[in-house]
Amino acid sequence: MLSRRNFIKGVAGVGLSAPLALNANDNLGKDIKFDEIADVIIIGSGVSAHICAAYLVKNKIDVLMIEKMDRIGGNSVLSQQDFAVLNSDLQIKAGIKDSEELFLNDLNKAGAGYNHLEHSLRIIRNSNEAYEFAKSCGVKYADKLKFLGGHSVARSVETIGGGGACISTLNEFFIKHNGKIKNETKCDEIIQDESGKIIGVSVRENYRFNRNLANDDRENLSGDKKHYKARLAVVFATGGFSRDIEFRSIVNPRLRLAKSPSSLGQTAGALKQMLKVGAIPTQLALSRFSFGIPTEDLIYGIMVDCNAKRFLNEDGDRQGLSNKILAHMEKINTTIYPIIIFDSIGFANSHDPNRMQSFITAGKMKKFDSLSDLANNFKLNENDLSKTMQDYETGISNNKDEFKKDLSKIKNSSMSKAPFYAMTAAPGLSYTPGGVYADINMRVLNISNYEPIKGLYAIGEATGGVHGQSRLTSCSIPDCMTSGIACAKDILKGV
Amino acid sequence: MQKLLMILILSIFALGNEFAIKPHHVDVKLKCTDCHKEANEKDYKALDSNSCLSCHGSKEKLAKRLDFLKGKNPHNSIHDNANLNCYTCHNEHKPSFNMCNTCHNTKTWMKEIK
Ligand SMILES: Cc1cc2nc3c(=O)[nH]c(=O)nc-3n(C[C@H](O)[C@H](O)[C@H](O)COP(=O)(O)OP(=O)(O)OC[C@H]3O[C@@H](n4cnc5c(N)ncnc54)[C@H](O)[C@@H]3O)c2cc1C
Repeated sequence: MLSRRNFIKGVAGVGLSAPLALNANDNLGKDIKFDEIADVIIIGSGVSAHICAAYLVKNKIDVLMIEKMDRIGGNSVLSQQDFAVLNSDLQIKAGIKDSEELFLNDLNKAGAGYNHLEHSLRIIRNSNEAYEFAKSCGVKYADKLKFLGGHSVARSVETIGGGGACISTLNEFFIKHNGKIKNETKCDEIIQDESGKIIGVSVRENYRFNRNLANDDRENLSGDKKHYKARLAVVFATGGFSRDIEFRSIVNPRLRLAKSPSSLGQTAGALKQMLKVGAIPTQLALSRFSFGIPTEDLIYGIMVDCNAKRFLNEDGDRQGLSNKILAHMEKINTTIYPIIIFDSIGFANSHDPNRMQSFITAGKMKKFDSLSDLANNFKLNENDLSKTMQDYETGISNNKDEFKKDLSKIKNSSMSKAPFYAMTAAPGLSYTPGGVYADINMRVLNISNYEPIKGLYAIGEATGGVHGQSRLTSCSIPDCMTSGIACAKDILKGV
Repeated sequence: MQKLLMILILSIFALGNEFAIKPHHVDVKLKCTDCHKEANEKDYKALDSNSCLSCHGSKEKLAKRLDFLKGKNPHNSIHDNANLNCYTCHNEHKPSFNMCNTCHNTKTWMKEIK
């Protein structure tokens, strides 16, 4: 368990008198008086930060980690942390034949050619080393393999206790090896010397994230300004920007209406800091959605908009369906997410009825004895809904679906047998594949000459171009962990 | 009762409605100065968790009280253990905020938070 004692904390308070000149160009390091000094400063406290930090402190490097939120661990503590590993002990034990080519093929298929091959290979070739390193720090994995969608063999290991357990274990390891961490400390700006080398960061301690602001990065002025010096490197392990509605709507207007299950602090502020010192923005328009329900089951039901009308073929992958849903919401000018409805036959056809049942227990999906209860609950017009359902059934009997659904695949599902089951179908933006471009040693490259910006690294979800069009399930964790280790090794080279 | 009213009125009028005190704290006759130690009102700052814990005991104790929620204990969750600050969810002068709700439907297991 993480212990509060381990967090260096100053006096609390959001007291602020003089406005901070957050955008002032004070990034010339010469005359700065530094308040803290460490070999390496890591910004962020998720799994990429913690793996990198653990590797460094194990090699006697003095590391200071900072996190802007109260919560340690960003999206990493919300994550299940399913973890794709090539030739893990579990794969070998189970006699599963896997190979670099097979794994690469799967990554390329999902990435659709947008993925940088050298990064795909970095993930594949180092995944087992990363998994073994995490185990050596105390992270526990279940004694079974998962065969997940998009993978051609069973290769994903399951983190016991998910991201929460992983991060608290790594944090304990980090602290035990003299690592230091400060939460509620926000990095505002990267400091360079005259030669352009990164020598530190300016931060605000006692910073309190304010979820009520439209844009916390620009509007929140809390905290006390300090300067931290890094002898060797500054590492940005700052995650994605899935909660930054303003920014994601600029890089891709389609993302405006998406819901996000991400941690509240997933904003683009850190990305902008890296761009300011010359990093290359890469594939920022891409998205990755989660759906709250296995999308392969949607074919057994219908999806209706707020007017109780169907608008798509329910048979699709989460990426395609999410795009269609968001486009339709824009078109009919609503912020209300559609509803997915099953009757009792469609519900029973689900590939994992126990899991469906667990959605009901969790309150995510609801069971209705009558159509009018369902309509009332979701504020749908009952007559319109009833007509939509009848039209769907007529289509089934004529073997011709209005939205060209392949009815031979629906296993005799219908839309008239009570009880009915329904839930909101909200595309959840849980991961942003775009970020800054880094080489395979995770050195951030400069847009003016494609050379590494000296002293600056980026790892994990903060980087872009790694996964391409669509990230394969359970492949962020191996990305975060292998990039964290690659970065640590590159820093150690210079010692 | 009269005293209670007095406190209520005082606290409301002293700083305006913006800094009204929650009913359960009014019940135990809390005054502004019980939490805010600064001499001058205009120096009052947002509190840290230790101020809350000086009455409420330790985070571990608070977590124990909700042990019956098993894996869904907001004071000792699988994501954060007992590491969050009180003010991440609880507010005194404005409505509290259930962070679990940003991803989970908490209605089935949690009351509205104070
Ligand atoms: C619900 C959910 C389930 C998931 N399940 C899986 C899964 O099973 N398998 C898988 O591979 N992937 C999964 N993912 C994705 C994966 O968990 C994340 O991509 C990964 O954890 C990101 O780790 P990270 O270290 O790069 O960033 P994060 O863990 O997001 O950490 C970044 C941290 O940096 C902090 N930060 C940002 N800016 C600043 C600043 N200016 N100053 C200080 N700190 C700052 C943030 O507050 C945050 O805490 C899931 C994601 C979610 C949301």
